[in-house]
Amino acid sequence: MTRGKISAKAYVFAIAAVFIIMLAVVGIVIYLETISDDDTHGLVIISYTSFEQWGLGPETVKIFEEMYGVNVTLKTNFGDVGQVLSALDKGEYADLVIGIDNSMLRTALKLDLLDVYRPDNIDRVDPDLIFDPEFHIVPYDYGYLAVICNTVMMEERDLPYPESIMNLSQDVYKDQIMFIDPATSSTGSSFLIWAASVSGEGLGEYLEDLSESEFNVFPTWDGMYNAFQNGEAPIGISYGLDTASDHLFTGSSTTVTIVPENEGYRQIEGAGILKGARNRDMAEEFIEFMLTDDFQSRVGYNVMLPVVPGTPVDPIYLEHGVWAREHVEPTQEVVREYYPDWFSSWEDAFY
Amino acid sequence: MYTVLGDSGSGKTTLLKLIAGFIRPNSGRIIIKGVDVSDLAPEKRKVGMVFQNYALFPHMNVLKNVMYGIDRRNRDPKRYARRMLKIVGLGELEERPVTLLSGGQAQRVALARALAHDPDVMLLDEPLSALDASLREGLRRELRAILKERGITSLYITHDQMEALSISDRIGFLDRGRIFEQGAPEDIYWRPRYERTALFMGICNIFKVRRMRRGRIFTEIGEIPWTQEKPELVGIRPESFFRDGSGLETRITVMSSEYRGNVQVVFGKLGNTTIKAVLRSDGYHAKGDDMVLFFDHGSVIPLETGEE
Amino acid sequence: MGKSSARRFSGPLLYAVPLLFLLVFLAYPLLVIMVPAFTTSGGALTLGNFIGLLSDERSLSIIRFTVLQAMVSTLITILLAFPGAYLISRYRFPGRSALLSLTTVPFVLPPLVLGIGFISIFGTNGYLQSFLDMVTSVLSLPSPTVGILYTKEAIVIAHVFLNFPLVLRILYSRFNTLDEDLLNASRSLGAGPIMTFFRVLVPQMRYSLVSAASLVFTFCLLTFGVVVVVGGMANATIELEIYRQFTGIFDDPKAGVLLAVEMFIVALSTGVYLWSSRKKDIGSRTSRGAGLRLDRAGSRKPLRMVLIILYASLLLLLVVGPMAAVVHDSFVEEVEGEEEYTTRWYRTMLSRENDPTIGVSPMGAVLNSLMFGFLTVVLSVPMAVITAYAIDRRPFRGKKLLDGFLLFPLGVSTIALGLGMIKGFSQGWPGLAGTWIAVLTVHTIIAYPLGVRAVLSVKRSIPDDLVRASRTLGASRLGAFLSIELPLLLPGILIASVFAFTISIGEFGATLMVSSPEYTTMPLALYKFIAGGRDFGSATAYSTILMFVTFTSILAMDLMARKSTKGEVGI
Repeated sequence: MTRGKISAKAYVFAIAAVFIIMLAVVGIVIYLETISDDDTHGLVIISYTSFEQWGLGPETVKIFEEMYGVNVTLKTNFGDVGQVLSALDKGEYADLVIGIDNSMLRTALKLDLLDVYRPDNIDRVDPDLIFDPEFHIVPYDYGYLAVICNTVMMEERDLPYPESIMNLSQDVYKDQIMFIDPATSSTGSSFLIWAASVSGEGLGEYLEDLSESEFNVFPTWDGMYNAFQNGEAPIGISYGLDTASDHLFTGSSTTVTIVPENEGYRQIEGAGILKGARNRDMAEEFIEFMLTDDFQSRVGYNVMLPVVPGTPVDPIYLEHGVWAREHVEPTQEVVREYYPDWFSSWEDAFY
Repeated sequence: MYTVLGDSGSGKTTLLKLIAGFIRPNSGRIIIKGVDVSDLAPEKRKVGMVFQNYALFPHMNVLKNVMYGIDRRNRDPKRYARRMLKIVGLGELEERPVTLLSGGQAQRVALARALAHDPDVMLLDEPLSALDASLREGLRRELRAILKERGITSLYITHDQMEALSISDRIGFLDRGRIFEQGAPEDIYWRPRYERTALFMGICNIFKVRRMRRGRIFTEIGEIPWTQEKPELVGIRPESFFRDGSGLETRITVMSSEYRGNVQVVFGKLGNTTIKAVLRSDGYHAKGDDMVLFFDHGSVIPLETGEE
Repeated sequence: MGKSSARRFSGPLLYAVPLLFLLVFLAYPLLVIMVPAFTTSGGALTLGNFIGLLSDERSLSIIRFTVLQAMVSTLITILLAFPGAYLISRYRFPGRSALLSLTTVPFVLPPLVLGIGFISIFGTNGYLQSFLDMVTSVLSLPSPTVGILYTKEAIVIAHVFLNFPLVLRILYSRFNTLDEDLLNASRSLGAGPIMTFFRVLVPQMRYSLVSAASLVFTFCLLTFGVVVVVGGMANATIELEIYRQFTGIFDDPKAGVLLAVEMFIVALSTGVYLWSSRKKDIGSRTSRGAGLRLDRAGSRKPLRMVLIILYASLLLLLVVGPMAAVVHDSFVEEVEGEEEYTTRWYRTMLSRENDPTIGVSPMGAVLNSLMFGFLTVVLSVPMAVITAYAIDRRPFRGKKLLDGFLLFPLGVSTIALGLGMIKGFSQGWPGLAGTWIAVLTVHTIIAYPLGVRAVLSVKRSIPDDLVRASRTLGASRLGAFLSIELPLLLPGILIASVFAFTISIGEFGATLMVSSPEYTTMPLALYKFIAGGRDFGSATAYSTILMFVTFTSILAMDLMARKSTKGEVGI
C-alpha cells in the first residue's frame, strides 16, 4: 500500500471536506425545491392517478384556472381512492377531494374528513345518482361495474361468458378470475357491495364458491387491469366502458365487457370539500364547475358517464358501451349498516 | 534505567498506565521531573512509550511514524526524525511501510519514534519479549546504550531476570501492586532480601529456618553456623553447589540429571524438599544415586518471607 | 474530574447519539402502532386484543402461514445451498471466481426487481410457459398451464431466489475456514467419506448453519414488496396484513397486535442470528490456515463434474435468470400478437416529463434515489461509527440489552416503521411526514445496523496499543481518533457506506408509506409501474435502469475501496 505524500490527517480532512461539500450542495438543492413547493396559494385538489393521467383533470383544471384566474394544484400520486383517504387521514393537505364513490363514502364519513356543501346547480344532476342526500359528496360521474373477459383466452380455454355475476362462482371458472381486495381498492369494495346486493342472504355461500374461481386478489384496480392487459388470466372485475375505451384509444379490443341487464351496479364518484380547507370558496366554485358542460362533457376521459342527463357522450362509447336496465345499488344507510358484515364474509371466504 | 520485575498480574502494566496517564490514581500523586502530572491527560505528559508489540501505525511508513510525536514547534521535523532513525541504525529504511519490517527493525522504529517525542521519561513495556532470543541480547545492549547516552530516565518492565540484570541501574520487584524490594542489580543478585526476590533471581533452594541455637541455625539442609540474627529462611543458589570441596555438605538422592552443554543440572531429593544444583558438566549421576553436595557457608543467603 | 481534556470518549455521550435517534425515529413510531393493541379506547391497559387474536381464525392463519413459509423457504434454501457451497469451496473449476462474485448480486438487488423478474419468468405469458409450450408441442403433448404465480408456493420460491446466493456465500466462507486436519484425522481413524461428512464436517458447520438459517428466516418474515407482487392479497403474510389494515383504514388494534406478534418472533430469530454469528466454531483455523484444500484433480471426476455443472447452472438461473428475463422483456413489445424488439419503453422511461403515475418524472425518481442514497450514507456512517464505539467497550449491567436495542432495526418491520412514522408525526408535527426528512430517517434507521457490524469488526482488529502510543506521542483522544483510528477504520467505513447506499436505493416498504409524490424513489416508481401503469414494458425498462444504477454505484464504491485500502472489501 503506497500512500504517497498524503498524510493520514490530510486524507481524513479531504474526506470530511468532500462530505461537507456534498451535504451543502444537497442541502441547497433541497432548500430550493422546498421554497418552490408552495401550495398555500390557490386551490389544492387531491384525487387518484387516472384523474390526472387520463386527462380529465388537466384539461378541466386548465379551463377552470382561466375562468377564475386561480392556480390549481393537483395531487394524484394515489392509485386508488382508498389510498387518497388514507393519505388525508394521515395529514395530507387538500381543499377538495375528487373521486369518493358510493362505496367509500362510509369510510370518509367515519374519518370525519368532509364538510357539507350543496351546490346551487345541483338540480342539473340526475336525482337517482345523488347517493348522499346530506351533500358531503356531490356526484360528478358514474360507471357500471362489469365483468371483463379476454376474448382470446376465453376461446383458448373454452370458457362460457357469464350472464350474471352469480355465474362466476361456477366450477368452470376455477382459477380464472382476477379479483380486487375491498380493503385497499374502491373497485374492490364496490364489487363486494354489488355481490351483496345481487346475492342477498346467500352472500356468504356465494363468496365461498366464488373464492374457488380466484386467480389472484390484487391490491388495486390498476394492478388487476395491468395483469389483465398482460394476459395473466381471462376474467377480471372492471368497468362497463372498458371495451369502448379500447376502441376509442386503439381502435380495436380483445375485451368483452359484461353488465348483466338486471344487475346493474353503478359506481358513482363524487367530490367533496375537506374540513380545514383554506380555499373553501374556490372549492365550492370548482364543485359547481364540475356540474357544468365544460366538465361533464369530458368525463369520458375518465372512462365514465356524466351525471347530468343530456350531456353529449362520445359516439364510440354509445356504440360499444354496456349498461344495465335495472340497478341494484343499496342506499347509504344499508351500506353503513351491513358493510362490515359483508367484508367479514369476504375475508372468511377468500383468505 | 529502572527495571520493574514482576509476574503477570503483579500490576506492571497498570503501573505504566498510571505513569503514562491512561489511568488515574485513587490516591497519591505522580511527579515527573518535579512536576505533578497526576491530573494531566496522557498527551500533556512528556512520556515516551515503547510497547511489547511495537504499536507502529500501520498506515504510515517508518518516517511518518517517527515524525508523529515530534513537537509542533520543531521547524524541521523530518530532519529530526531522520536523526533519530540514524541513532537506532535504520537510516535507509525511512520510506518502508511498517508492516514490512522485521521484529527487530520494528522495535527500533518504535524507539526512534518515542525518542523523537523528546520525553522526560521513557516507559518500556516488555519491549523485547516478542523477539527471538538471539535478537534480544543485541537489542538489549543497544537500548541501554542509546538511553544512557541521551540521559533519559527510563522505566523498563520485564519478567526476564537476565534482561533486568543486564540493563538496569536499579531493579524493583513488583508483587500485587507493591514494590517490595529494590536495589542495584549486584545487590539484588547477591543479597536479595525477600524470598520472592530470591526466587526471581534464580535462587530456588529455599529452606525454612527452624531454630537457632548457639551460633547455628537448623534448617532442612542441615546445620549452618550463623553469626547474625536468626533469619526466617535461607537460600542457596544452585550454582553454589559443588561435587567436592570442604565445608558444609548435604546428601541428596538424585531424581534427574540433565546435561546442558556447559553445565549439568541435577535435581535431588533431600528429605521432603528438592534441591536444584548446577554443576560442572563433567560428571554423570544416575537416577537413584546418592551423592554429596558441598557448599560454602558464605553462599547461604538470609531471606524474609515478607508476609505481613 | 480534572482540568484535563477527555481521556477517552465518554460512554454515555457515545450511546446518547444513536439512542436518541432510535428512540425518536424507531421506538416512537413502533409504539404508536402497538399502543392501540394494548389499550382500550378508553385508554386503559388491556390484553383483551391479544385474547381476541387467539380466537380470530384469520389472524391465526396469517401468523401460521407467515411462520410456515419462512421455515419452508429457509429449509429449501439451506438444502440447496449447502452442497453447492461445499462443491465450490472444495473444487477448482473454470468460472469459479465469477460464480462467487455472482453470489453477492442479490444482496444489492432491490427485491422488487426480483418480483418483476419472477412475473417475467413464471407469469401466464412468461418464459417458463413459453418454454413448456415449446417442449410439449415438440413432443406433441398438451401444454400444462404454469400456475405458479399468485400462490403460496410462489412466495416460497421467490424467497429461495432471493436468499439462495446469500446462504451459499455464508456457508462457503465457513467451509473455507474449516480445519482440514480434522477431516483427515477422521479418515485416518477409519471413517469413510460419508461418515466423515456427517459426523465431523456437518457438526463443524453448526453455527454457520444456524446463523444462515436464522438470517434467512428473519428476512422471509419481513419481506413485503416481493410478497405483494408475487403472492397477491390472498396469500398475506403479517407484513402484508399490517399494510392492508392500515391502507384499508381499519381496526388499529388488530394491526398493533399482529405487529407485536411479528416483532416477538423476529426478535427471537434475530437474537439467534446475532448469537450464532459471533460464535467461533471449534476447530476453525486461524487466519493462517488455508481451510479445505482445493482439490484440482477431484474436479475431473465425472460425477463431481456433473454436480458442479448442476450447481453452477442453478446459481446462474436463480441469480441471473430473473434479471435476464427483465432485461429481455424491456426490449420487447407485443404488436398485433407478435413480439417485436423496441426501445419504446426506454424512451418513455428516460423522459424528463412528469409522470402522474409516479408523481415525478422517471429520471426524477432516479435522481431522488441517488440523493437519498447519498444522504443515507452521510447520516448513517457516522452513526455507525459512533455506535461501534459505544458497543466496543467494557461490559456493564444491561449492556447486552442496550446493544441489542441499538442493533434492533436489523429485524424491524419496514411497513410498521413507515406507518408509525406517518401516524406519529402527522398529528404532533405536521409536515414531517411526507417530507424528505421522514424518508431519510427511515432509510438511515434501516441501513445503519449493518454498517455498525462492518465498522465494529474492523475496529476490533485495531490493537489497543496504537491509540495509547499516539497519546503518549502527544495526540489528544480526538486527535488519536482522527489520525490513527479513522484511517484504519476506512475499510469498515467503506463497507458500511456501500451497505447504506444499497439499502437506501432498494428500500421499498417504509418509503412507500412515508414519502410524498415529489420524493418518489426508484423502487416506489417501479411498484407504481407494476401496479398502476398500463404496461408491463415500462416496469421492465425501469427495472433495468434501476439495476444499472445500483450496479454502477456499487462498482464505483468498490473501486474507491480498492484504491484506498490494501485489497478488496468483501461483504
